[in-house]
Formats: sequence, C-alpha cells, structure tokens
Amino acid sequence: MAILEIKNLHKEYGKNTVLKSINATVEEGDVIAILGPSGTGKSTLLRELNMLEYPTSGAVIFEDQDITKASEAGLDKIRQDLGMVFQSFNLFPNMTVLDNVKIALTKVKGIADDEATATAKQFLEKVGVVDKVDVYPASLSGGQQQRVAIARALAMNPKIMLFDEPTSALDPEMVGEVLKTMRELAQEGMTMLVVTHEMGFAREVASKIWFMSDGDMTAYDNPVSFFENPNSERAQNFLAKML
Amino acid sequence: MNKWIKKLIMLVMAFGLVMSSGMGMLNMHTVNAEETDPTLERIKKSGKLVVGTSADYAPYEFHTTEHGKDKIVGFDIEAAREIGKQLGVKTEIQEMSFDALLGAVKTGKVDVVVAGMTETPERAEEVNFSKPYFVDKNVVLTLKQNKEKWSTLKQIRQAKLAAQVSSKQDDIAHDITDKKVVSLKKITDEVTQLNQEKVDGVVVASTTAKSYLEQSDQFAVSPAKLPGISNGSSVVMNKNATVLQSKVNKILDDHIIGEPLQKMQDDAIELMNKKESFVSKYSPYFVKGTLYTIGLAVIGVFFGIILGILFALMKLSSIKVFKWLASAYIEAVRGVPLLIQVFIVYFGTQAIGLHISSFLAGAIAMFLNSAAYVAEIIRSGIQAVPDGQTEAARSLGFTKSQTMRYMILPQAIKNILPALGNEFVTVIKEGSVVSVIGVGELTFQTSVVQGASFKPFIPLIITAVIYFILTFGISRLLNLFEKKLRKSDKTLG
Repeated sequence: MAILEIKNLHKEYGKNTVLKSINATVEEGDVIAILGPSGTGKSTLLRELNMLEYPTSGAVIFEDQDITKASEAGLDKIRQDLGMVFQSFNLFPNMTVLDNVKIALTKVKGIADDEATATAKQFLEKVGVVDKVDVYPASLSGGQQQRVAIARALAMNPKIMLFDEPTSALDPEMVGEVLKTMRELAQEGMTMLVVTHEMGFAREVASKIWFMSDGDMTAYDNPVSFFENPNSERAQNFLAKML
Repeated sequence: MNKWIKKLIMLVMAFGLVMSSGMGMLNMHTVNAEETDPTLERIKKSGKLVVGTSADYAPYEFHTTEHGKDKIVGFDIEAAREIGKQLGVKTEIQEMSFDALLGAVKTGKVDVVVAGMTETPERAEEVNFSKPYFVDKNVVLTLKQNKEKWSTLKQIRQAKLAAQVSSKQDDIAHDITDKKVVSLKKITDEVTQLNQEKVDGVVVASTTAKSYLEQSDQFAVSPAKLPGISNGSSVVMNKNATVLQSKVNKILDDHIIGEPLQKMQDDAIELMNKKESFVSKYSPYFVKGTLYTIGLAVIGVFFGIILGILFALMKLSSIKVFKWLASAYIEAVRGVPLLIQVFIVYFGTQAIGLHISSFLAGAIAMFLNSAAYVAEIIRSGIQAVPDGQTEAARSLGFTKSQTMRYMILPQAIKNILPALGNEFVTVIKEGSVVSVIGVGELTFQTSVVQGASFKPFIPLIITAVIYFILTFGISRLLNLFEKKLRKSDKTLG
C-alpha cells in the first residue's frame, strides 16, 4: 500500500532548477536509499517531504492528503508522523540527552512526565546510549549524538523516517554504529528514506534505490539491478567513482 | 505614517484653538482689568512657585553643603524665596543647564526663572521680564600675569574671549573682540580654559569675577570699561504671565531691591567662602551622583530590555507592518544623538501636558534609546542560533512559538547576555548626557562641584576615576560570568 506519493514535484531557486517534476511512490515498509552525486537535489527532495522546504509546484500525498497545501497547524501535526535525522545531528545543546528525547513527547504530544521519561529511556536503550541520559550533547561523540537524534525522532512513533546524510559528518570509526542502528530499524519494518553515500549500506539494507542526477530521478525497484546493471550512463559513472 | 501626520495636524490645530481662545479671554479681561493669568493660576493652584535656575554661577546661585546636605543657595535664590513668600506659596528650586531655562519657562516646566538673566530684545520676544532687581557690570577676567596685555578695549580687540553660551556676556564678547569667541555652557569651563591659557579672557558679571578673585590670586580683572555697560538681572516668566509680572515687580520694589538684596549678597558671599575640606564638603555630591548614574543605567537597561525584546520580535516576525515599524524605530533612534532625544522627551512630555520630573524624563529617554540597541543585540543573538535547531524542532512537530520558547531563546541568551553587559557599560557612560536637563547624576554633580569649589579640574579627575571604576568593574564581572558560561559549555553542555 502506498504510504507516500510524490507527484510532479518541481523545485526552482531563481533560475536554478533543482528538481525536475519528480514522480515516485513509497510503499509501507520500504527502505529507500536515495543515491547520486553531490548537488543533484537529494537533500532538497527529502526536505520537501516534510515541508522544511516548499516545492515550486507539485504535490506530496501522505495518507490521502496533499501536505504541500496543509495549514501551518496541520503541518505541525503531520510532521509528528515524519521523523527526520539530520547530517549535523541538530541535538538541542541546552538540554540533557534525556530532555532532548523527552521534550517533544511532553510539549508536543502532551504525554505525562514520568511516562515520557520511560519512553525516552526505552528508545535511548534501543540505540545504545541509555547510560548518557544526564549529560549534555557536547560531551558525546558524533556517533552517540546521531544515535540520540535517531532515538529522539523514533520516540514520536513516526510512520516514516527521513535520514538526510546521517553519517556524512561522522568520523569513519563511528559510521558503523549509526548504520547498525539504522539496519536494525529497517529489519523491524520501519519505512525509511535515506539520503546516503554509503554504498554498502544501500546494497545490503535498501529495498529500493532512487538514483538522482541533475534534478532527475530514476527509481530502481531492485537494488541488485542498480548495482549490477545500471542501464544509464550517469549511474554507471557514479558507481564507477563510488565503488 | 498617515495616521501620525493626522494626529500631529490635530494636535497643532487644537493648540491653535487653545491659543486663540486664550487670546479672546485675554482681551475680555483687559477690559475688566486682569486679576490673574495662567501662570499665576497654576502657582496658586499647586501652592508652590517652581523656580528654574542654573546653579553654577556663584554668588548668584550655587551649591553648598549644610549639615552634610546639598543645597542651592545664592542671592538670586534668596530673592526667589522672598517672591514665593510674598505670593503666599512655597518655593521650589529646579535646576537645569542655562540654555534649557528659556525652554522650560516657555513650556511651563517652571513658573519663573531666576538665574541672573538679562533682558535682551530677542529674549523679550519669547518671554516676559520683570524689572531688573540687580544691575551688574560686565568685566573681562584675565590671568594676573597678562593683566597689562589686556588693559584697554583696543588691546582686547585682539584677545581671544570666552563667555557663557546664549548669555548677555556672550553678545558683549562678540562685540568687543575681532577674534572668534569661545562660547561654553558653564562658567567653570571658561575659567578652566583661561587657566590653561586657551583663552585670554572671560567676559563675566563683576560679581562673579569678584568671587574668583577672592578664591584665587592668579586672576585679575581688566580695567577696560566694556560697552553696553550694565546688565540687569530680571525674573523671567512666560509670555502669558502678565499679572504675575506686575506682582513680581511690586514685590521687587517693596521687599528686595536695595537693602534686602545687599544683605542677601553678603550672605551669599559668606556662604561661598565658607572654609571646609574638599572631601567632607563635596564627597556627598559624588556619592549622590554615582547612585543616580547607576540608577539611571539600571532603569535604562531594564526597561530597554523589555522594550528591546518587543522590537526584536517585531523585527523577526513575518508580519510586514511589525517588521517595518520596528526597523523604523531602531534606525530612527540610532540615527539621532541621545542629547537631542533627551531634550525631545523632556520638553515634548511637557508640550503634550504630561508633567514629569527631569529624572523620569531622563530615564525614559535613556530606555527608549537603549531599547533600539538592545533590540539589535537580541535580534542578532537569535539569528546566531543555527537554522538546524529550528529545523530539528519543527520536524518533531513543535510550533513556531514553541520552537522559539524551548530551543531558540534559551540558546540565544548565551549570545545575548555578554552583549547586554556591554550595553550596560555604555548606558552608564551615556547617562552623562541627561545632566543637561538637571538630573543629578555624576556628570551633573561634577559641574556642581566645579562651580561651588572654583576648582575646575580636580572634580573632573575624581569623576573620571569613578566612571572608570564602575565600567571596568562591570566589565571584569562580565568576563568572569562569560568564562563561567563557557566552562559549562565544556563540562556540561
């Protein structure tokens, strides 16, 4: 069943066309790796799925609703269902790890404090940083911070998780721990869209590949067919450089 | 904008209406012989005569300490009290700089001005003068060693002279020399310039010259007879105070001119020459001034912050009108000197019928001014928080205002606090500007001490040291505080 539909999504910055009428469908349980050279609109596409950026034209249908036309209040509600993880983690530096995860539960969802604490701890345990609940983000490693960020998004019980280059800002030795967390998430059946340069992860974990170049997007329903037999010159060039 | 212009026009029209109806009444009354006028009415109603003066002009009016308390004394003041007594009301002295006096009497800030002021045709067009109660010659005060050099009018044509700005002496100085005249606000400043030989002479009333001669033997009075000779001191009133004028003239004749005034002058000179150590006599002024300065800065920054937050939020808001209003306010305030803003608040409140004290007017001007700077500090502090913070919060479903409250503001405060501390230091220093409307802060008290002690330089040094201790102390405290903030960044956050 389609959980998210992208229809003729078009984005221009002035004279620059970043997305050229993208059409795509996300099924429940899909793990989609969005691949492609830098500067081809991968992050822009992801950020337009929860309206952190607005498209120039086109529609994003989530649960039968075009969210490009949703009201401000409607969007606040919709965004709770679309968890997002950023390249630069974006933890709140003025709050402890626990509060980072808890605050949206209490202030956005209105969950009671002790229940929120329990939920937050449960997700911090899941990502393996439950021993750091009382410290501030600045004293965590990059890998730990990103796992807290994942726990923060998961705690809201989203229907889709959006990952925007989650390992690009990490030191190499920390990439593994974050990918492991994401892999576990995929195995649990979470619907995920991941902008990434981690080819190994895409190959093993993704169920579909969206390959982007110069604002165009080609969807591959089978990762194997993308990696072994990409029938476009652009994709071949890209893979030649990455592998 | 349009709305404001309309309001302004209405204000002007209303003013015109009041004026014309006032004139009409005036005409009616002349027929029946007037019994009162608006100023006299106000004096009777409030039960007090508010006297404006510039107390740096011994022995006319100056500060002294009596039992450790500051007091404005002088024969002008004694005369003013006598006038109050004869009118059957209390007398209240209000101090401000000499060039603010005419404005104050015209707007009704004060009922009369008694400040050794001489009638001139230009002034007479603006205000009413009583008959002169004291006639004094003007002389040129010089340094003793140069006395020979400036002993005739012919020689004086080549002298560089100083005089109090917009005073009668200023006019005379312009007449008798071909050189450019140095016009300064305070007699003490002029005498300082003379001391340092920046000017060759100071044109002053002979009574004042005499007091300088008694204080120090380095001065001399040029024997040259100045033209225009005498300047009579008159009581100054609003143009509308016609009945008051005749009453004051009668009081002057019956109770002041002649022997009583002579006694007042003797008393004043005696007070002036009272010997006491500098510290015990003048330290209360510096203490009081320092407290006022700190008070002004605290009020200025506190309300400045409240108003500044409002303007910062307006400027950051997506509503165009708010944005525009806030920007306009900030640019306007930052583009106009604080001195002018202080005068606008002081006289402006009076013009629209609000009677507020000079301290309040000064404090209001300070925080209206500070708000513009604080708004910019807050705005830049908020904008310095990375966009990623907003994106993370919004992606979790936080509303715009929740994001501001829980994520942005707590982080912005770390950027804002140190800059606010600097603003506090700035406000302490800029507070000196409100001395012009007679707020008794440090700079004001300094000129009081300069005037009363005939020591132009020492009080300045003392004041500089006090300002330095205040500002340096606060900056050190802020540094410590900042270090602590940064430390918590490392260990905790």
